[in-house]
Amino acid sequence: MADPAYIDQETGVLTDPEAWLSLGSTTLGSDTAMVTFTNPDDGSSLDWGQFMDLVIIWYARCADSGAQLTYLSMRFNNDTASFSYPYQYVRGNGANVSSGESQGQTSILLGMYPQDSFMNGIYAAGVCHIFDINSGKYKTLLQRTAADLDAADTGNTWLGSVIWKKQEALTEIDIYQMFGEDHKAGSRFDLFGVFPRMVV
Amino acid sequence: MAIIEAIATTYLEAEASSVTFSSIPSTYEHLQIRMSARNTFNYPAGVPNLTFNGVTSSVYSTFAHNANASSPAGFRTVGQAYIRAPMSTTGNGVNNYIDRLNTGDYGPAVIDIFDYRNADTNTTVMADSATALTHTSPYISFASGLFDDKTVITSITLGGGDGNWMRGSRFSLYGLKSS
Repeated sequence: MADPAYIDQETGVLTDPEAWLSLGSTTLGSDTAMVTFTNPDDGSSLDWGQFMDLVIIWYARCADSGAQLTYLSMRFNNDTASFSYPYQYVRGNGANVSSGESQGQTSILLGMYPQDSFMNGIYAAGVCHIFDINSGKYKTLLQRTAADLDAADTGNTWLGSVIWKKQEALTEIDIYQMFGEDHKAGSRFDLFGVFPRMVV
Repeated sequence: MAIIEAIATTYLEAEASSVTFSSIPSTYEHLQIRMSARNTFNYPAGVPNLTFNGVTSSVYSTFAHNANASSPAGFRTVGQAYIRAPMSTTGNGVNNYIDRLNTGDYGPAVIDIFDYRNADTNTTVMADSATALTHTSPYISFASGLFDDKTVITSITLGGGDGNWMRGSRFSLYGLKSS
């Protein structure tokens, strides 16, 4: 077991590290249904137990044929229960702005991404902040999505918020297409851990 | 050398009317506040007050895009004593709402403060925020704020507005460097 990077290996003194630490980066070499990040739970510098927040940065496209935006979903700790993930959003499609909320969700709507009949090379992007992953709070998310499809009124820009109604620590993240389709090869998912201030 | 540094973290063990980060060094390019908070507002969503350097004169403005479950709307206020950010903050609520909030409900926000050490320009703020979602009146917003003052920012105060920040609220300040 390696000591976390913020502990000086020789003196054992606590230091302040880079505040954002890369915990994993996955770029798909082939179409893939599921991307999973898991807490190593080993006390190492990558152990999620030491972080305050997590941030996911994604750049993805769906491999399913079709010419619409489709649903990029996410679950925590394999929780599939109803009403686990209420969400709200405000979004625009180039012509209209709308908003909404839903309480009965069994997964997180991480964002919208294009199906595979759209122009080659167009991927959607998003940033998702997950707060206080080790606290006794419900885990709240704040997320931005950009899906510009180079066509009138078919894109989607999105600000969303989700709450995971569990007070346990977050230890696993699964990212998948809502109806079981694959993520397109070339899709990329990065996970960062965010430290608090270590040294006062 | 770290590109993103954690400057300070405040975790409230008791209610507080405001949270202040002071003596902020001028060694970063931009600042970011990340917070997970709940307020004693007597309504399900409310607006706290963001001020800089202790200035409370009419030098702040706010433009925002807010939305609830059914309708998005624009918002603007100028010449105010504070920036209305984060625009959507979880309030403890009353009557119809209090029984729907769980003790674990806190709202997230990310506030970016750009070019804060530049004495030749005013300071612009960008804030995304949302309220807790387990009651039926959640709000979400993205907002911009202006501090119409060219003073280098050395302190930031997040006032509780009509209420106090509640126990368990967490506020973290980060500095972003260019190299």
